[in-house]
Amino acid sequence: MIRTPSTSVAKRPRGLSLVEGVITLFLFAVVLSSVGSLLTDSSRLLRRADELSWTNQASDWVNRMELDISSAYTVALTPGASATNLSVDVRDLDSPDFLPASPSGSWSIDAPNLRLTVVYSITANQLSRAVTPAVGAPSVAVLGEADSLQVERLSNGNFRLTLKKGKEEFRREVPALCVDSLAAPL
Amino acid sequence: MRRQPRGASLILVLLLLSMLFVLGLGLATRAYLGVATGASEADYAQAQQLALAGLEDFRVKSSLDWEFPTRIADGTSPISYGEQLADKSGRVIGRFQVQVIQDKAATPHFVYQIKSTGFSNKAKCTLVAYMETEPGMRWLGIKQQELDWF
Repeated sequence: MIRTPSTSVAKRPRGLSLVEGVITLFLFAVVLSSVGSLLTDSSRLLRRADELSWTNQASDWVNRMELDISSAYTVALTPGASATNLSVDVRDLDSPDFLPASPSGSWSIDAPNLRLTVVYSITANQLSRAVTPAVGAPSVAVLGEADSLQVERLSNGNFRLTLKKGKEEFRREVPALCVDSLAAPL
Repeated sequence: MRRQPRGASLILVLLLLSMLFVLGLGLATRAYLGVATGASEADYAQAQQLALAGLEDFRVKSSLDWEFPTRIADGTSPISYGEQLADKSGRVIGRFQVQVIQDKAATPHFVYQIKSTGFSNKAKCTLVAYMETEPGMRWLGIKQQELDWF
């Protein structure tokens, strides 16, 4: 049998040539190392994001404390003092006795039955807000995780609130509007 | 007979690229959500500060001007005003809108009800406060009525 070039079938080499293999391995290594580096960076970023998420929560709690401090007509701390909890007295603005349509002759905006005592404290690494009415049982709401709460009353009457959890810390200085308006009537 | 190339490598590469794309998309989405949450918390806090600024603004104005707030005969129609606030560089940081309800301003209550809403970026916070009309114009209490996007 005579084989002619036109009838012969050139057998394609199986697999990759050396150059192709080296290039493929190189590209694969580049992609793999990029993905590895990306994952390492992203896990670090996500851990930081989780920590910042606590800071966001702490900001929310401090907003709430700020409203209670603004609304307080008596506070436990004197200027220059500090404590590990925040205790203020506020009026119960939702009570039907606060601004009744037809008040009796003895009605007063400063009536003791309108008083609510609000206390923020940390127990077993949980920040809680306890509200005690003049009459009745107190109610406690757990806000979330925190290691410590530091409340300072500054010489100008403002409060400095510091919440900590692990390495994270959230601090804000807030004025006491009601107390200030009592101390310096316009 | 010549075998047709099966294209397994192409499928593998496409699969790998798809996985990388999904992974990247997930990471990007989570990072975006984290940033958005942080920004919205900052906006909420700023909106509350603006609302508090509105309350003090009302107290100072009413202490300096005997004609303020304008007396309304039936005491039922609220008056309203607002201001835009900027930082030292002139950049607008937000505004507050104050509404004064005077239906309990006279005897026997002598109390103004003031609604102050702070607007910061896309967040708004409405505070309701009660102030004694006299003597001393002291604040009686402040509560949050609304905290939302607008």
